[in-house]
Amino acid sequence: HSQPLFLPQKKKKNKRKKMDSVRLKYVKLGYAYLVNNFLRLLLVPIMWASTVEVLRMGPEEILAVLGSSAGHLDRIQILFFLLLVVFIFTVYLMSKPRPIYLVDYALYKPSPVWRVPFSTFMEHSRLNRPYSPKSVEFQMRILERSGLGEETCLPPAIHYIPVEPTVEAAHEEAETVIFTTIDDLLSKTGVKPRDIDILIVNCSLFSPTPSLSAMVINKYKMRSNIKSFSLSGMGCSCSPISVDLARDLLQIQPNSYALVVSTEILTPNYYQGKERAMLLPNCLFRMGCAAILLTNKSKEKNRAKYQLMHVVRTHKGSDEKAYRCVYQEEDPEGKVGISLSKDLMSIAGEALKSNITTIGPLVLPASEQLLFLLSLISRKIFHPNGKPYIPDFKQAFEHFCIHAGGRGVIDQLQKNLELSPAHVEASRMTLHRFGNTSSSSLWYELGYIETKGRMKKGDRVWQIAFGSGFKCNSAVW
Amino acid sequence: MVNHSKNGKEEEAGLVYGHRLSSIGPARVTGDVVYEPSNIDLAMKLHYLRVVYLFDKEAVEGLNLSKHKLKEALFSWLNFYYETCGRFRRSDDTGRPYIKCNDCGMRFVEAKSSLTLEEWLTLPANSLKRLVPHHVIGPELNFSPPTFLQMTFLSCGGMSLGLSWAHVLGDAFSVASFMNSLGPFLKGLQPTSSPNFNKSPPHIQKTAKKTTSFSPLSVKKVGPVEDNWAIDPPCEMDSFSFHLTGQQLAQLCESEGASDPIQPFECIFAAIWRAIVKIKGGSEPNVVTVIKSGPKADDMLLRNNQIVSSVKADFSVAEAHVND
Repeated sequence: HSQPLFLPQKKKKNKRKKMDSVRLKYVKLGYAYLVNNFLRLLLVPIMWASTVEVLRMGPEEILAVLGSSAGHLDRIQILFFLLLVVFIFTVYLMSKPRPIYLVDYALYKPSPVWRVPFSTFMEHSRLNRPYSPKSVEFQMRILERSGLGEETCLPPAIHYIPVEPTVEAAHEEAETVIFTTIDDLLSKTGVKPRDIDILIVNCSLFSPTPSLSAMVINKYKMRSNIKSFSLSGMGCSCSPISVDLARDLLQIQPNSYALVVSTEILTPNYYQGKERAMLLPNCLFRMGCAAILLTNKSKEKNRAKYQLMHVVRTHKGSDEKAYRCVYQEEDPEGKVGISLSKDLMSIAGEALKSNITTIGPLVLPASEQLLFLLSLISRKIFHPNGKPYIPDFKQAFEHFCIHAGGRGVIDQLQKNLELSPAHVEASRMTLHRFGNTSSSSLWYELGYIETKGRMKKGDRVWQIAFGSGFKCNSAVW
Repeated sequence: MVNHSKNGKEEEAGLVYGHRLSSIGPARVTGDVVYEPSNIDLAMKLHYLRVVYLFDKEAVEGLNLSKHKLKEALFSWLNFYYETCGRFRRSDDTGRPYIKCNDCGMRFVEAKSSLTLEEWLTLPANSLKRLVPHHVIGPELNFSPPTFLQMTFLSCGGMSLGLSWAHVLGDAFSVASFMNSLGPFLKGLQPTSSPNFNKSPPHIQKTAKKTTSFSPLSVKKVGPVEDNWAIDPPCEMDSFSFHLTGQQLAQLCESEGASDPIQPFECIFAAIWRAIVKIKGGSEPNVVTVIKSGPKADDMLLRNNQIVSSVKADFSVAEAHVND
């Protein structure tokens, strides 16, 4: 084929670019290594110098030096000194937070009887809303762009024409979903229900009396002195919140198991009106549940899957726009639904930035933090409008679990954090197979990574969740 | 066609009440599969087969299935008959209908009945209509299920399954084998082979012969129906059934010195024809359309296998012997 005139130069340019980028990579690596191991590197010459000194002085000289300094003190002072050291050491040990281990977790796999192919969703939508063809079309467009597959599931009550969102149906859904998952977890871990000391159930949209945690305690005949909590209304970001609560409780209660159940019960919340902002949840939310067993028992250290490193919670509720971003209200016809505002993406971006600012110093290696600091200073002094330096979180984590809120959320985060498609694959596949399962989606993603065999010992995972409020919560394992 | 669910007030009054509509489809994703009906299939598109299966209490209890397990069995069964769960589309260039196997599902009706099985059997056959949904395809092809299934729970503990089937999918023998294949699934048995995704009937391309000047006697042309695949019957149709013992059949078919033995089907239809002519008086009709089953196809395939032919009699049917 023909050779255009400029091809040889272009080849050279590409080659140069490639060489440049490779060089840059090595520079970055070298820099990172230098900064991260700075103290160690500093220690080396000190150690060397002192070894040389010691070797130079003979053993008698060393003893003489020690003896002269020790001679100034009498026994009581030495004893006091030793006691002080022991005391400080004990205080340090006591104030160290207990390590929290994740023994195992179980995910709910809905029966294919409840699956919702696109065509069925559309047909039922048309039959349920004979007077709003525009809303049906809108839902179809959302579904096509949503990233959901043909195997996502809705609870049985939603499959009827017309839908039957009764309280009884919601209870049935809760029982099926939660009990199946807990059964699975208990059989996986071998823990008995009577051994559970702390129970936290989070479900944003369904909050019956007695609570879902009471329902679990009733079914499994748990102990009467169990500490149970039922978190509701906290949106899709509730899973790290529950984990944080469990962690705090496990700090004060030694030798305990905490069971955390994250789910979303969809039956009562199928929106039956035609406001576009409220139709989105119908298209995206699907059945799901995760049950997690946490503990501070040191005997579980060997078989535990993960250890909890950090939980960072960011709440943007003080900002009015963020507060109203995901809001449950009645539409002009009186039908209740959850309205999602158009600013959702930008508000999520802001919340993420806040969260990153807090989590950065905790997890980033020193090299990235220094770079961030330098770029911050240079932006403040030299270029006020310069692009902020986004720390490379890929150096801090091997795996990312981004809440599968929708394709837009995952795309946005992939761009913001400069992640590769492989990093967000777990999120996309969870969205495709299970839909947006709200708070449990982080766990489905973790399960996906494990199933694919990518999780190795020592890998660090970052779970990021967004939710109404507007909150951005992270958990680091 | 939407069947609105009835409220509790009709509970005690109606024979069949508490209708709840939903859809059942294949458990696994079928994927991008298209089912192309053949010419004979499309010739039958205005017809529907409706059949009711009645199960007594022992049969239902013997199954020992919870409602959920029952639905799981139905979904596994439909893995193999995904074409009944698709929707019709018209091809862009020729306008010929085909089925897009998009797993949209069969319409499923759950209902209850205040009668027992025995009571249902004493009612005239016409009342059994209530146990079967009466659907037609259209006016919107894209959103019309080709099949409806109604599961009615009788007050004695028995159950009825009413199937409303678009003839375009297959003939009565296909329906029978379709329903019979549900049996093993209800018992929890899984088939040994996976579904066949190449089920479209073979398309026979006939070379164009010289155009015939007469229209076939066995089929009658109706006006254009567009996408509403239903016809108004010329008169009220009812079904009638009677039993023949082996002895009666043998008596009917005895042939004296005939070259080949006469098939029972021919004997029966001849006897009915003669009877109708005698009842009507005169010599009409002397042409009848006969639909017989063709060669049997593969087990899990749905086919319109009937051979439609017409028989013309030159002699007085009323006077003739069955053998003629």
